[in-house]
Amino acid sequence: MSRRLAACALLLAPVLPGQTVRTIVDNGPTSNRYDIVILGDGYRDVEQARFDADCMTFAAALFQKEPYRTFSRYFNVHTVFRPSRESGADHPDANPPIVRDTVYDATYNTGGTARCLYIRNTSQALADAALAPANEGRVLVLVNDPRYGGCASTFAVSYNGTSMTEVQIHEMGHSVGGLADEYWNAGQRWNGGEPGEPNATANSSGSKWSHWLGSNGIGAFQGCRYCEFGLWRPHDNCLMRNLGRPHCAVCSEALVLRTHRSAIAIDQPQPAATTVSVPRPSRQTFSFTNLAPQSSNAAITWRLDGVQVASATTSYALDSTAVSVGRHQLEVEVLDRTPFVRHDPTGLLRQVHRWTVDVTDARPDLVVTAFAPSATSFAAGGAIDLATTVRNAGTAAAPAHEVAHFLSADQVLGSDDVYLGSVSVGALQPNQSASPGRTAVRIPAFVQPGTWYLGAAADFAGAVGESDEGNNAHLVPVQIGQPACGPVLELRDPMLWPKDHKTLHLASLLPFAQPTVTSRCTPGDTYLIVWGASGRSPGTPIGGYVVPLNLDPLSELSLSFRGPFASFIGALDAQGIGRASFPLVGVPYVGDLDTDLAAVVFAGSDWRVLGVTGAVGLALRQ
Amino acid sequence: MPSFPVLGALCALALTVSAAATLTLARHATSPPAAPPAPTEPDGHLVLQIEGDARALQVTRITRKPDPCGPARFTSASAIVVRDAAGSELGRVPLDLSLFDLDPAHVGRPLHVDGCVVRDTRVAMLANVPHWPDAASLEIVHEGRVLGVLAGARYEALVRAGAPR
Repeated sequence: MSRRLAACALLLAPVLPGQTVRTIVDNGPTSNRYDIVILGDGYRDVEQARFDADCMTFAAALFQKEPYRTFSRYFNVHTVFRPSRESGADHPDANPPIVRDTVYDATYNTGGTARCLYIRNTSQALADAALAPANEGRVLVLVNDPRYGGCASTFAVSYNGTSMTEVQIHEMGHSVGGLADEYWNAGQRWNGGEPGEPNATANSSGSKWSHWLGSNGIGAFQGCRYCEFGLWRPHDNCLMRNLGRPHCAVCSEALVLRTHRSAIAIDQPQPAATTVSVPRPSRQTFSFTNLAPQSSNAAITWRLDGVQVASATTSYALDSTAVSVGRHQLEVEVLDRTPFVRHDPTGLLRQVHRWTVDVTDARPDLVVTAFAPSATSFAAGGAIDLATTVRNAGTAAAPAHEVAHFLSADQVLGSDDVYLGSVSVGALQPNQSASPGRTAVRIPAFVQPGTWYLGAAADFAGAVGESDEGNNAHLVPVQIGQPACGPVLELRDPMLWPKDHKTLHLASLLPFAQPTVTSRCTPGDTYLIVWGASGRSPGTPIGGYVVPLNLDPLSELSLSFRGPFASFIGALDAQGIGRASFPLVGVPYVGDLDTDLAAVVFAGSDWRVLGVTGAVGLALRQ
Repeated sequence: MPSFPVLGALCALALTVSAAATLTLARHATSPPAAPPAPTEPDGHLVLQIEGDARALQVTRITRKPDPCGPARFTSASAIVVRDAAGSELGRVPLDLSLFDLDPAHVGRPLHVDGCVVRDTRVAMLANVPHWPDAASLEIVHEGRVLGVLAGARYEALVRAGAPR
């Protein structure tokens, strides 16, 4: 305290003309301090220096008096000065009466007690006290008058004469500590029940402060609270009885407990937020400033989810890799074991600060937030546009990736679903979205008419490690109708290895093509698939049609129906579908080869040509 | 034209690929559930000037402070209840009225002095409450009775008047 007080580094902030707000003792944030506010009454504007000096004198004396001295770091002191027109206070009991025009209308002889100096304009006093940075609802008033006096309620009022500091600290005992006076009027007897104040009892044993009996001069002394008989005080001669005395142990205990209603030892906890997100991997340090006096020998305990993880330290570093992902509760408890307090029935000296800690995996999380086809009802063999928006809902950046489009029969993706293609999305920062633009996709003719689910799946290849791998896809139900009658040859692209289905990479694990003939209007008839690598023009005439493929030794090979040419000839099924397969597993790479496939549909009865498909390119690559 | 080594290699192939097992991926679209609106955090605090007596207490002035209010670590039969416009309780702060004479039968009596302790039936005090931006009313309760309510335009006017200048 003294450093700040001596330096008198005052926060000077004129609020309204004639008012000056100062902080003369600044020990820290008002949100965790007992903020004392001092007003002055009967000081003219030219006497502001006297008011300031009186405040400094009082503050210096206050923090030399226990328990304020030991707990000085728990207090701030602010002053608010508003000048009065005249000096002094009213003396209505003087002859003739003295009347002074002062801002808070301080007067002696309040309630008929000559030395009771109190204020009458409490509204103005409260309004001015509220100008201080903070207050605790109790306000001190120094009155610029040499006549001895003081009184207390919400306001602790004292004159500014020789005994000012002692009177004011005594009045604070009432106002702040809720303490009783320990002096008495001769001959008066107490006839009531047990008083509420902690330092007065109707029980001659002094059991109210039994935890102090026999030590620090504490006993049970008759005469207290204005009664010579029937009430007992804890100490023979405490400040609440006579000025110039220290507070006794019982009164000090009460003052310490009252102080801890408004300020606790756990000061300025860091992080300041009570909910803290800690990504993995990282270490997050939690800390606080311990206000408890050294003499308190405070016990500090840190607990994570109820389990003690540290003690006797004002900081704790949480290693996020040592705890599970999810929400945790971290708390620090300080038990102030000050010798000033032996009985703490409501646990004011046991203080806890809690943080909610969300341990998170710092990973991207790709989500398709919008997916809109240009139509939801269309024919197989036709084309539609798709609009897709992908968002990174995770806590780390996502690299560039592919968004796959597909058709699913049952909302569960499997190898029986139909891959339609993919679109590239660039890297996404957390909370960043991207819309790669409308993408045209062709719906294969072999798709069975009916209800399907058109889908978009972010990072379908699973190349991006995400915090949630189960939210990548977005599905829209669509109705698919019959394709046109003419035969179509397509390379069916199974969902199991969705790649560029028009290129077979021989070095890949599964170089595998599935040529599929669709001729919806000729179920049961015969299809024939031919392979070639000599171009499409002029093609090969057959039965009045031209197969768009120049025959060559590869064609002859495919017509042998041996080796990988499985089902290159066969009967169309009941839906007019003919499925072939062309596995090239283990084929050594010798050179790039651009090939074509084409199909002919014959009448099953007489081999009459019913139609010829277009050519489908199939590139062989390493 | 392809090279004949390729043809030879193709001829040597007679491999088949077994039907691939179904790959079932739980990648259905999911949307995060709608979160309830988060309660508004206090923005500094209000210093209330409370005046009146056992029959009725009024908030006569409000001063806004930028810093949070300190703790109020005690229990009391008196409290200030802060509510939003819908009447939901945002917070409750204990109020220490122990220094006043709140016996309704004593209302109107002159203040009483014992030694140097003043007991007055007229309440005049300051109290601190967090300032919730959503707050619309303040209620002063004592021993289960509502002794005063500040709400509506009057509340807004006092908060506005007490804003930092």
